[in-house]
Amino acid sequence: MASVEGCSLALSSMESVRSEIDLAALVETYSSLLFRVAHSVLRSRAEAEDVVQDVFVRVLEHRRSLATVREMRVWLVRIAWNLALDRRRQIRPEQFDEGFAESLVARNLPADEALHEAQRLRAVLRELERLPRAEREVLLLSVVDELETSEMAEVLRRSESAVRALLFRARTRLRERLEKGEGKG
Amino acid sequence: MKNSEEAIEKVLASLRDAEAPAGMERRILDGLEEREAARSGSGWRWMWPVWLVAPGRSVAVGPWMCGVVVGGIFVVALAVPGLRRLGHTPVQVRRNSATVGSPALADSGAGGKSVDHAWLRSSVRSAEKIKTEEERSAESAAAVVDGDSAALDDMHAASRPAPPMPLTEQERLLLRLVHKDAPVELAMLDSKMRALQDSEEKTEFQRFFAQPAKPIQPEQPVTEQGAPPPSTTTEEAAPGQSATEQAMPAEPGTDQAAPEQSVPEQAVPEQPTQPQATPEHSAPDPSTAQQATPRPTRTGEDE
Repeated sequence: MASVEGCSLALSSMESVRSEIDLAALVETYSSLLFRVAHSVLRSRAEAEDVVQDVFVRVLEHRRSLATVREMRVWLVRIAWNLALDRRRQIRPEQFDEGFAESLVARNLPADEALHEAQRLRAVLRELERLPRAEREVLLLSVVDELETSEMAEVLRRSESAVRALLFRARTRLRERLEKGEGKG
Repeated sequence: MKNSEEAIEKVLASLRDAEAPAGMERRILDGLEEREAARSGSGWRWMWPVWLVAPGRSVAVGPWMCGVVVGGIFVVALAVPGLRRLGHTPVQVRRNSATVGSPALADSGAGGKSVDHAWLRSSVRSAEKIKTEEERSAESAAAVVDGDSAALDDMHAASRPAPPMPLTEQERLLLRLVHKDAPVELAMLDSKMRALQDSEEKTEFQRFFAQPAKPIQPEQPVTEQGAPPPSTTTEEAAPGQSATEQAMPAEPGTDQAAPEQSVPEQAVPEQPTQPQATPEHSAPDPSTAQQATPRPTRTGEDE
């Protein structure tokens, strides 16, 4: 009886340890990628970190079905992407654009040039938001360098060719709109 | 064009190179641990003492506690039948102790220093008393056993519906009140029964009026020859008519004429209008009237 209990104890502890190790490994491996995915949508570090946290909570909830997940990376990115889009409906990412654009301006530039550069970057972000939803999503997801086109297609549930076409159209449209804006300005 | 392309690239590059805040992984893991602890604590761990549900012990204590719980259930399952058995024994044990104690008492009394009769009698009485108590307790134990067996038999017996309760006096009276002459009324609804009853009544009627007709038969000519009563009721005339019908052979003409003359009651009121219609004129006719008048009454009774 004692040996059986001991055996089951060891097995359960091993199982729990393995799950803890797995979870820690998942966090270590994918947290930065998931952060970038969420940040590309939300453009806020705090909000992106919350999204990553939520992703791993979901993983914890579906801990028993983790073995059935074929591609962990794509699965996690899809969760993070959907959660970021959900959060985007609650907050307005435009409110973070000013601070984000200023953070991108080089600090060694003179004030007037820094202001002009910040305005330009803000215009890019603004036009990015005005893009059609499918084009914007493909463009934002393409920001994450580690994702291949097939993975992007799987996350967005589109074909690879559609993803490529949408990406091309998004970039072209964004460039044209920015040039038009510069021409008007 | 170059400016816009540069701006786009710069923005996308900045999004691409965004670095996670320092310590984000640690914070995520801590948050997950807290969440897991809260979730498991909200389930069944609130029943355990704090030292058992400490985060460090959760892994090791869980299976151990499971084993303890399973063992406890096993022990309880083993102990319950034993306790049940013990619950029955105290009566026997008490009885045995009583039986054992009484001779000892008697012996000690007998072996005492002062052996007087009174004490001996009292001891004997007490021994008898104890014996009767023993017998009584044995009887009660037997009764208990019998009761148990009866209860067990009742428990194992197939269930059957309870017998109907007897009616109270009031209910019986009510029933009698409600169902008064019910069979007769029901029988009246049946056309066959009604026809049978009618025929019985008819035969009874005929039998009733036929019996006195035979002794009257020789007297009838006398009454006919004598002064006939000017006004005879149909009831009085009926026996005479039946007597004439049965006494004399039926003439072919009378039976046929009867329907024609079977409305004297309707014609009688018309007679006063005729001046010749006197009782004297109508005197020779009574025989015909007697023959004719009963018919409606009989038919009326038949109906």
